[in-house]
Amino acid sequence: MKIRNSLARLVIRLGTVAVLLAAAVFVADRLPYPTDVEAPFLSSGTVGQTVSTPTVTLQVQGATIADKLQLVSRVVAANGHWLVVEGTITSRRGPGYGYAQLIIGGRTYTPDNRAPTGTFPVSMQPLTAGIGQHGVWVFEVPDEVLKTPTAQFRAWVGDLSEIPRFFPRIPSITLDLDDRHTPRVSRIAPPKSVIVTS
Amino acid sequence: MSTNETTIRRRITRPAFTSRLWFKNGVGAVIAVAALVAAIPVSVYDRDDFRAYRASRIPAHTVGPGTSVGIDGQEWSLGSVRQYGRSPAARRAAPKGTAITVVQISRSGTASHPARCTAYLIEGDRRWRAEEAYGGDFWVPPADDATGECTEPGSLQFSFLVPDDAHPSAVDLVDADRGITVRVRL
Repeated sequence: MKIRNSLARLVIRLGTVAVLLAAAVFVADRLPYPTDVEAPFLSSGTVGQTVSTPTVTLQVQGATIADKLQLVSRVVAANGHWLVVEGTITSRRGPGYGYAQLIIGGRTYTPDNRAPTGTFPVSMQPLTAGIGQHGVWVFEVPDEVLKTPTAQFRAWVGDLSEIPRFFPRIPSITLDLDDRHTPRVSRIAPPKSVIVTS
Repeated sequence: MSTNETTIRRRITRPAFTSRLWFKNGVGAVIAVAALVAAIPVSVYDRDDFRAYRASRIPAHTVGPGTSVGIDGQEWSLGSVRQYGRSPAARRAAPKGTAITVVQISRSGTASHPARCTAYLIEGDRRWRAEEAYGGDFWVPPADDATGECTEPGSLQFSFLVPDDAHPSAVDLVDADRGITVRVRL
């Protein structure tokens, strides 16, 4: 088809450009975030089970919910509750720290800064390849968490508190939060991490 | 006019295959893609990234056991590799199932461009960072003529806490940009 009218041609061109730009914006707005595209592959496990990925081995012994955290010289009350996860983590490649996330009801919690020295992620010694460490991760969680049935605990070895980029494989442990599996105590003294070797 | 003549005439009036618009557009697109691909090794950022990656994989200098290599005005060679369960000089004994590996690297002469470094013990894709003088429980203080700092003159000594099943093959000295400056094979 040939359009001889130059005004009509101009209108068609401008219209085509507008439609293409609008389509590009529509697509760009709906692209997934890089963190979703590069999300980790999770290796699922349960409490007591040893989960290994190429970079980390993790075994969670259990979790405890407490109201107060007993430090050396003082007691820290939570705005909600303390959820203390106890486990053994081993790096399989290189040095780093045992960072972790707790995912409950779509929310992500990171280990609390008020946790005493010697708890993960900043343990007494950095993690090193082939030498495991037993210790705890201390999270502060709101009250409604007590009504949530399960939580996901994910831990990795790295230099940053963010999950490593580019498709890492990360252990994801399912914790049952009912009071039979996760006992409630009024006060807990988090132990310092110790080196354990099999 | 015969049918044959019509065909010939049509052939003559039709533009050649190479002057068709879709063909020209196709050639243009191929040239554009080729130019983008060719720009990657030339581009400043990509080139530096690639250089940094290469430096982090391939050591600039390699010192083999029993050989002496001249690097930056100094003679480098492997001194000794010792393993301790309990070192009298370390703050703590190695926990059960682990050992303290102490590596000495002989250096003589004066470096013209001394640079800071971090030492890693290498075994395949596993690696251990050297214990630090400040806070390292398994750090073994260097002998009198040795040092733990690449910038200081004299021989080097590093200590590592490794599991008993480790069979390390080399010590890598890594600079601030994560490039391997020297690999000393054990």
